[in-house]
Amino acid sequence: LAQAQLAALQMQLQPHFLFNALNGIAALMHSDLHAADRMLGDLSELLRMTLEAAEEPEVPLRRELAYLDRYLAIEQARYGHRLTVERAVDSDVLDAVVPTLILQPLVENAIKYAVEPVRAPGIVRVCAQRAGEALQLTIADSGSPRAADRPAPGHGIGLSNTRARLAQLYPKAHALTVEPGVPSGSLVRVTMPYRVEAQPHCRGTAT
Amino acid sequence: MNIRAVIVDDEALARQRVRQLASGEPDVEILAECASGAEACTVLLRERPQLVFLDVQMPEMDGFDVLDQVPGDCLPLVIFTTAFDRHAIRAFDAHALDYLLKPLRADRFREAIERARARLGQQQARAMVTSLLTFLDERTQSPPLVAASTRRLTRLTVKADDKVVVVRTADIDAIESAGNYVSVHVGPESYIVRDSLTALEAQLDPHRFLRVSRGALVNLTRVKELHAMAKGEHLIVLHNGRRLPMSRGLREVERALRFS
Repeated sequence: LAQAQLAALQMQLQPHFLFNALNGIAALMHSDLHAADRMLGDLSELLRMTLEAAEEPEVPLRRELAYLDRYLAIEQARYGHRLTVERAVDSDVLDAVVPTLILQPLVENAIKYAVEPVRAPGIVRVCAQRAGEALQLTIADSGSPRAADRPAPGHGIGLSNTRARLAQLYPKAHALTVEPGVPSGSLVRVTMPYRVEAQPHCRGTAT
Repeated sequence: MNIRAVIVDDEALARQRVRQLASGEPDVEILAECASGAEACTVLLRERPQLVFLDVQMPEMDGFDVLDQVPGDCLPLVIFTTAFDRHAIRAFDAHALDYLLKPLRADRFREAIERARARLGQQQARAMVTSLLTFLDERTQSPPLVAASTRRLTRLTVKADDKVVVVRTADIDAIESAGNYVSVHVGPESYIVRDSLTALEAQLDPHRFLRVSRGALVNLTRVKELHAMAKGEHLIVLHNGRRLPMSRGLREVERALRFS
């Protein structure tokens, strides 16, 4: 299990992200103790959830979104006004199960293309909705003017890992597509069976 | 003597971190903070800092791009800051003074500043030695304190077109032989003098000018680098970028450099 946890950590969180976050905390400790405290809490929670993720292949979307919130809180502290996150999640899908840590790499990818290389504010939009028997997650970004920098859709490491996990969990019942965003950027759409875990997860993440 | 520095990082928190650590160094003065590579280029040209803390990964124009854009004579000492070390080798290729990994550690930061102090101190010391030598040169001009036979040539008079140019020997970078003449290199200028290299060598200060090959005398204070070439040969690179072949032994040249 320890090995699986380590692998999960390595796959999930880029070294850049971790070290920049720690650097940010070091900075905040001198200027805003409460903010430093919060960021340290977010980072710890993120690490803990990543370690736990190795134990369970699926979690309710609610929990997945909580994980994403921790991640985004840290990115927000780093990027400030350069990062705007919009979220549209239908309340009836919050209990639907999704592959553990499916959203964060996709959002990280979006930030990498729409925020990191651009000085102007970038927007990342996360949506979840039910479409009949399917659950649909979409992650859209506002893109970069240097669109040519972007690797061909579906060729990023993040996407191929995600694709592999979907194939393993929902053989022949999943889809992952990348389309041009409107008006710019791109949109990643993940489709999987809509299913609500019979036994709700009551494992809390608060300490 | 304050170290005038500029911070370049696209993340506000990261700039804040550098500023905090710098505030513990009384002689480091932060002139400006830049949030992008483009801003850094403008500020480096305008402020002419002695030191820059330069983030490697930035949007649109990264730290290396900044160095490419700034003319060589405006480049300050560079301390790279980055979260991940795969850029380290390129950083050292870019002649970084130091390379700090994020999160920045107070002790490593202090070490980097110490390095900057030492390097800037060297530059100042070199300037002081040069001015002292000039002073001594000028003094020997007036009452001869030393016997005539050991008096050194302090100036050359060079005919150039319709005028005579006075060249202080201390200002000469190198002298190369060209048949019956020698070519005297002084900064961007080269003057032709009808004399032999050997005759000039005999009159110049041997601690200052070294015959590095059959065809060249070099002002040791102008030497910046010695590059190893094929077959055990070396190339001398001067501060102004001029390159000269060197056939004299490396060890001998190095010793002469240390005492010049």
